[in-house]
Amino acid sequence: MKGRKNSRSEDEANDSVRMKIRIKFFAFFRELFQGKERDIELKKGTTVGGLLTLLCHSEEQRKEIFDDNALKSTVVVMRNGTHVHSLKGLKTDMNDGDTIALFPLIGGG
Amino acid sequence: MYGYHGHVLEVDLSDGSIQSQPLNTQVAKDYLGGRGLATRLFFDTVDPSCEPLSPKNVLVIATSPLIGSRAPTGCRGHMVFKSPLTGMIGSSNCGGTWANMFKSTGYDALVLKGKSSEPVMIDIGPEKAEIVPANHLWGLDVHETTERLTSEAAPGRSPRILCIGPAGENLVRIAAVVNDKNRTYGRSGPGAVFGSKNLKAIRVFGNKKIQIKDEEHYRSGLDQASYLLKAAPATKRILRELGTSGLVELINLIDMLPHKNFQDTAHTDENTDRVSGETLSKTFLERPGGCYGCPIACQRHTRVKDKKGEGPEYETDVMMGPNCDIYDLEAITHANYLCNELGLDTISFGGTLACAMELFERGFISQEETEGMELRFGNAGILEEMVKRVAYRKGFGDKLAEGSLRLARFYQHPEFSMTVKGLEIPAYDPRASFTQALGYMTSPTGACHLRGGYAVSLAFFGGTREIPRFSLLQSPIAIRNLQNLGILQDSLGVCRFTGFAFSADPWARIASGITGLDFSTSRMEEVANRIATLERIFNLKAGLKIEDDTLPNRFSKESIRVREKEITIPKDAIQKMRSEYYNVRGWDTQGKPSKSLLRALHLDGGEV
Repeated sequence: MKGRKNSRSEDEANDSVRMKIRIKFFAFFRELFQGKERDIELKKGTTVGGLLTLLCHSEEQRKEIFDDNALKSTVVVMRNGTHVHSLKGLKTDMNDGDTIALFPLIGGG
Repeated sequence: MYGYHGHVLEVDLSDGSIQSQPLNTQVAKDYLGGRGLATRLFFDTVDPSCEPLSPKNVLVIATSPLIGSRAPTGCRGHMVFKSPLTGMIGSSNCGGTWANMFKSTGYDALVLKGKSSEPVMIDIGPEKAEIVPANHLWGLDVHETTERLTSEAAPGRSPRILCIGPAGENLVRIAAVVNDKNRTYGRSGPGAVFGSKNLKAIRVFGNKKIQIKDEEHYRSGLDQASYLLKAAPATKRILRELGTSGLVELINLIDMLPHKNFQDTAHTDENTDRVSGETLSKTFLERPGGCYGCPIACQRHTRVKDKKGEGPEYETDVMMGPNCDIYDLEAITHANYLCNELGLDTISFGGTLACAMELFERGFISQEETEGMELRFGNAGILEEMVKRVAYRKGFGDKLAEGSLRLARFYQHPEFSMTVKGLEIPAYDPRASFTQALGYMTSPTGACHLRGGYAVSLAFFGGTREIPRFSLLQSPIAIRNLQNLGILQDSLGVCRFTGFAFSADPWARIASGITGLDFSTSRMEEVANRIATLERIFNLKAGLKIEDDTLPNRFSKESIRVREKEITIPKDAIQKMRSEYYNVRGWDTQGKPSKSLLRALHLDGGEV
């Protein structure tokens, strides 16, 4: 019991500062964001919307991801394999170690 | 008639007779074209109890009123027959250029009956149709046959060729019929039906155009369709850039990519990257291509070293790849080329090979039986050789040529065949979407994502909120709607991928404008329900039982990890979804269409 308590308080201390998020890009987002994936350290509490805002440096990038301030309807963002539409959209929160995947609306089969 | 030529060509290969029959206008109104028209003509001609590889089987190929128009992707033909793989209705749809050229010969559909005593081909031109000896073609592969028949055509003509390869000739139950060398009517084994009739090929050349009734209405539909196709990323650029294999990464992320004969859905990122659409585009892709009149252009014209060909598509890529624990894109692409040349359905081939690999690894098939071949998961080196052995029924390949269910039954372990009604499950694990699972269960042809309702597509790419992945209550309605949309697309002769941009509305305008008939969205819904019910009646007459509308036990007993949870589809969930599906279709508790439904759909007398 004692050990678990200590470990939790250490985690809480780390969590209160930063969290590590892995971002994966697919299809033409690989060209747009120049890479397949990226690890990024963020302040705890940053939402998916906050992360996407940080990622978009150019007008071209913003145009492909956002429609005004909303997520463009042709963009699929997944947190650990779940579409953020099924969560809280751009307000979806993230935890340390989460993977965010970014696709254009894709098709096939 | 507008949109239709008003003629059905009937060829009896037993007595060599060829007749042109009038197309009944009411049948056109009630069944539209393509899948609907083919199903009706088939149902009216065939004995449902016939042996699929006997002369009594009938194969119908139908076009739609949109074929010959400028409707985007409106080039697809549809085949209906009794499947030698499932014993149920076989139904297969294909793009390319053949169906468009067939229609320009002046016929809306072709009904094939009987069996020729010698190998033959059918030559259909604007003046006449004739049955021609084809001994010189027997044994040639699809590419050789296509080239030979094209070069032998009358000067100034560019005919289109539909043919089988050695797999169809050898009555391989997973054999395809192919046009344009690489576009296949793959599923349910139509190639074996051609082979059983000693029919090698159908060459067509025509110049007849369709008449359009209401240009303005038709054009407004065209404009709407064209605008929407350019507005959706999938149809505007993604399918052109990545092909259908662009799905590999996404399907893996949602824990749906099958692995080792559907034992699990676990892959490393490095491995999926090796077989992804992104990698294919950067390595073997020479150029994208499209079927006749298609602005989407998902075809992959590829080159591997000195060999050129088409593919792989998503299904081929995954079924011959990760589902066999193979992540070697070069080996998969080569095997794909060979399947096209020899005339095999790549989905069923991959599923059957994976089944054989599992039987081998579990010790039920010995290395002696495989003539020394190491039939292990991950052995990419055997892919091409196995394609050849199956197509030619050589040695151990003879057993795989029967499809995975007969193979697994032979070894007294049918539980390792990942099939529904005997048709191999395509490259989406049903445990990762109950809606897709129900689609496989209730598809009239067995496990087919295209006839069973393509739940994955719209669930993840069109609007996640509409189709929850694990809802027992919503899945039956959702899959009925998706199946109906698919029936309409197949009956309109258009591509499934237009569904990424729009559903029925532009088609209603286009079909009504061309024909002058009422094909409003509500009327088309009625047409789709009628076709689904007629397919069901055929299957019931052919011996379908309620217990056939199910999934292999593996999916109830062995879990996969989805979103950090262990997921199975329990037996009671299967029964609950099935009952509710029958209910929303208007079928009774045994899956038989009710009398009131039959009356409402003008199918009186269809009681089973």
